[in-house]
Amino acid sequence: MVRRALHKLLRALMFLSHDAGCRHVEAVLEVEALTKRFDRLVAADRVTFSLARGEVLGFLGPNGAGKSTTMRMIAGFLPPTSGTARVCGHDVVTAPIAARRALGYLPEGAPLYGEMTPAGLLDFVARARGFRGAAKASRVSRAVERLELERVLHQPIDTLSKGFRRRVGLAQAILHEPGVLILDEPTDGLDPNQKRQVRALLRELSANTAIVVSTHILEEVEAVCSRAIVIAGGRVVVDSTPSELAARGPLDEVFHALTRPSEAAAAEA
Amino acid sequence: MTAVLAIACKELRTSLRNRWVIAATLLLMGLALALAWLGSAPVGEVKVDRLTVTVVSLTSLSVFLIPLVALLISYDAVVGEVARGTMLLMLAYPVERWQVVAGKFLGHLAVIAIAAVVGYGVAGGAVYLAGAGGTAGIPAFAWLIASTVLLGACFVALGYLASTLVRERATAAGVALGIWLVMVVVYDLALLGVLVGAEGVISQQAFSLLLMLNPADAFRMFNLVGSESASMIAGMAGAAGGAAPTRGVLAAVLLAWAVVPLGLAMLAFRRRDV
Ligand SMILES: Nc1ncnc2c1ncn2[C@@H]1O[C@H](COP(=O)(O)OP(=O)(O)OP(=O)(O)O)[C@@H](O)[C@H]1O
Ligand SMILES: [Mg+2]
Repeated sequence: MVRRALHKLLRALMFLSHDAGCRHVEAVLEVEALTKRFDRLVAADRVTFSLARGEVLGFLGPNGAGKSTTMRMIAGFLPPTSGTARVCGHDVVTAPIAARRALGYLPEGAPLYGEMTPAGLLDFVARARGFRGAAKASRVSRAVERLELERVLHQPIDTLSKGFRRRVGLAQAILHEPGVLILDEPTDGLDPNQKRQVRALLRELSANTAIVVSTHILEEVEAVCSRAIVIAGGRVVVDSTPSELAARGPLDEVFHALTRPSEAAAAEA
Repeated sequence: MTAVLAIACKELRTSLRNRWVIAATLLLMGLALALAWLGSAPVGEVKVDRLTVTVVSLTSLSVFLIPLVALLISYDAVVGEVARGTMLLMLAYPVERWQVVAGKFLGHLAVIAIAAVVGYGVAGGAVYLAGAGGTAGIPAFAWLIASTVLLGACFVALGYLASTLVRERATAAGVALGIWLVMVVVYDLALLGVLVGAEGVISQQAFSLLLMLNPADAFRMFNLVGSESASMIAGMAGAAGGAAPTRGVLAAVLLAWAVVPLGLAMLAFRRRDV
C-alpha cells in the first residue's frame, strides 16, 4: 500500500519535471499505420503497435523485412510516407525534438565517432542532450558504470574491440535514461558472452523503459522480450509472445511460412 | 545554443586530434615566414614599411591557400558522416538539423581562425621585431587576418553546400576541387581574357564589379585597396581605377558569400535523407 502511494507520488513529481523517462504517459510508444515507400517498394506497410513501460518488444523478420526502416521512422530522421509514431505522446514528425528527448537509439551496426574516446563521446552526447555541470557528470558516470567502460574510457573508439564499441553505442543510447529505447540489432556480431551481457542489461533497463530490439535470433527474444512482432515484406504478420512464437517451431521455418504468402500476394497484385 | 556549441567543440577537438589544426597552422606559418623573408628585399626602393609588404604577399598566399584548406576540411562534413553512419547518431539527439550544420561550421571556422591568427600572427610578429619598419602596417595586418578568416568562412560554407547536395564522398571532393579551380584560378583568367580579347566590350566599372563578385577577388581587393601603399606595391592602383569599391562593400560581399551558401546548405540538409 505504502509502496503504491509512493509510486503515485513519484509519478506526479515526474510529470512536473518533464524528464526523458516521461513517467506520466501509459503507452510510451504508439505506432499507427506507419508506412514508408521507396519509389515502388513499400518498406514498411501500415505498421501498428503500442508499447507500455516495462515491455520489451522483439522485432523479428528476415533481411529486408523493414525492421530498420520502421525504427528509423520512430527515431525521427526518416519521414514516414504516411502514419504516425508518438514517443511519450510526442509525434515524431510534428514534435521531433520533444520525441527525441525521450528516445534513445542505437543504429544498425552501431556507428560511432571512431576518432573520439568513449569519455569524449559521452561528454558530447550529454552536452548535445542539454546536460551541464554536475548533472552531466553524473549521467556520464552512471552510463560508464552500467556498461563497464571504465577501463577503455580514454582509448580511441576505433581501437576498441567490437564488444566494447557496442557497449559505447549502448551507453550513448541510455545516457539520458529515456522512456523509449530503440536498439537495431544490438547483439549482432558479438560473442556469446557479450551477447549475454547485453541481454542482462536489457532486462535491467526494462524496468523503467519500453524497449524495441530487432534481432534475427529467436532465443534472444525468448530470453529478454515480453512481446514479439514478426515483420515480413514491411507488414506485421505476427504480434504475440515469445513463447507462442517458439511453439511454432524453428525461426527460419516460421519466416519461411510467413513470408511465402506475402510474396504470393505481391505477385498477384 | 548549447547543442550548437557542443557540436562546434566536438568538431574542433576532432580537427585537433587528426592534426588538421596543426598542419594548417604550420603550413600558413611556414609559407608566411618564407614570404616575409623573401619580400624584405625591395623595401629600399619603395618607401613603405615591411609589414605592409608582408600584407601584400600574404594576401596572395591567402587567396590560393585558404580556399583550398577550407574546402578540404569541409567537403566531407555532411556526406562523409552520412556514409559512415554517424549522422544517424547525431540526428537521434534532440538537435535541429540547422544546428548540426551551424555547429560544424563554427568548429571548422575555428580551425581556419586558429591557423590564420597563429600562423600569420607569428610571421607578422617576426617581421615587426626584425625590421625597422615601424607600426604603420599593423592595422593592415590585423585586417588581413580578419579577412582571411572571413574568406575561410566563404569556402567552408561552399564546401558544406557541396557536401550536403551530393550523394558520394568522391563527388563532393571533385566538386570542392572544381569550386577552388573556378573561383580562385579560372575566374580571374576568364575575366582578363574578356578584358584583353574583347576590348571595350566591358567597361572598367563592369570589370571592377565582376571582379568583386568573386569572394577570392573581393578578399584581394579588400586588403589591397585598403591601404594606399599596399595597392601601390601590388600595382592595383591603376587596375581598380577610380571605381574602387570601399572596404565595407567588399566585406559585405565576403559576408554574403559565407551566409548564403551556409543558409542553402542548411535548407538542403533539412530535406536530405540520411
Ligand atoms: N534509402 C532507401 N532507399 C531505397 N530502398 C531502401 C532504403 N532503405 C531501405 N530500403 C529497402 O527497404 C527494405 C527494408 O529495409 P530494412 O533495412 O528496413 O530491412 P531490415 O528488416 O532492417 O533488414 P536487415 O535484417 O537486413 O537489417 C529493403 O528492401 C531495403 O532495400
Ligand atoms: Mg536492419
